[in-house]
Amino acid sequence: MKTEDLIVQLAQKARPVTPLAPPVARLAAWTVGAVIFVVLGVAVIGIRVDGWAKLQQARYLVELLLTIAIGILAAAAALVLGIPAAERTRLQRWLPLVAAGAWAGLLGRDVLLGGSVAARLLQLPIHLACILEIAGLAILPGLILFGMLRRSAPLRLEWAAGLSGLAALAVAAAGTQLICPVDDPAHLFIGHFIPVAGLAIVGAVLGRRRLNWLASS
Amino acid sequence: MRLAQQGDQVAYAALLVILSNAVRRFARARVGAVAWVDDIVQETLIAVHRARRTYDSARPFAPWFYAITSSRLIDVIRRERRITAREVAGDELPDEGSPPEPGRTDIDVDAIRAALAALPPRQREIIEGLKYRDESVRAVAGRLGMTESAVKVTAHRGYRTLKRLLGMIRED
Repeated sequence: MKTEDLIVQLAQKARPVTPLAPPVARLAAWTVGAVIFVVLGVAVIGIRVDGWAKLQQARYLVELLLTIAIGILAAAAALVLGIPAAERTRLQRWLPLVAAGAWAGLLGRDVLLGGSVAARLLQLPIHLACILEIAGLAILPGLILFGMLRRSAPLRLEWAAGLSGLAALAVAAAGTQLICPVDDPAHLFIGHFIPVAGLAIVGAVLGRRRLNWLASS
Repeated sequence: MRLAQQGDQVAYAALLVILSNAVRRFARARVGAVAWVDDIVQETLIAVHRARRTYDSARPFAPWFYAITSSRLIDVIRRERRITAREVAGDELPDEGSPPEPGRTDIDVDAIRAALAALPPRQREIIEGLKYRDESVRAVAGRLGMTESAVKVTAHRGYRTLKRLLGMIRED
């Protein structure tokens, strides 16, 4: 087809479109929705017995806020990546990963300080319930964020898909921390952090194709 | 673009004409006058069309547009490299006089000639040079004023069309 003919075709297809709201506005809407969904999920499943007491502990609160921050930073980066040239610095997409690294570092440090590191990790302190809770609480926020990205035009598909997965999983992990009664950092590392990281990577690989808005061109 | 977002088809067509020239200049400055510059132009225009709702009129247009253009340019370059690599790896029609491969039906030379005649002139000229006159890629490129890479890519497309015409591969 000649370029001139293509231009005529595209111009004929030009119907009014509503420009996307700025990433900040969509991030705010997603965050509110995700937090409400996760809080409702936690309320239905049930907060850990000593939940309110744990929230008074600085260390517990820092970890909780860190996972929420990972979720919000990842969602922000994903939404920014959905707009061509909107990303001002690569730091925007690396920051959630740095925060995730800090979460892993925090848990790893506690594992090391607890002694018998190899023995504790090799016991594979994984609880299926935690993984199901993380996955279950992440599904709706993840689908909504993914839907938002599909309406935009991400040029870095793996990044956008992976960050949207990480965002939903991190917020879900924060909710799971309110449910899970186990404080052993080995469990939190193997049973919470690793599933979040692993599922986010799976999301990046699988989501790439679904996000490809140019696939049929 | 703001008018295009509002559905103004005339303004949109005018914009696309300007953008197509800008993409052509941008691409030629980076990859030279290769045969597939028009592919880059067309894929960029389609991408701009699909992404037009993501343009924020409060922000400058050029960074948005060139981000898309760069992305499409890189994708097309990768694709053309893959095509060239496959072509170099031996994606060629068998010689007219060579015996049929085991397990394969014989090839109707008349059908090949008829399919060849149906090719666009440039593809036909290149394939005839390479296959009938045993010219090298370099010689064909020099004769037609094309780069060797462009000759390989055009020949590859010609082979694909020939195969399609001969019913050897399914239509895409």
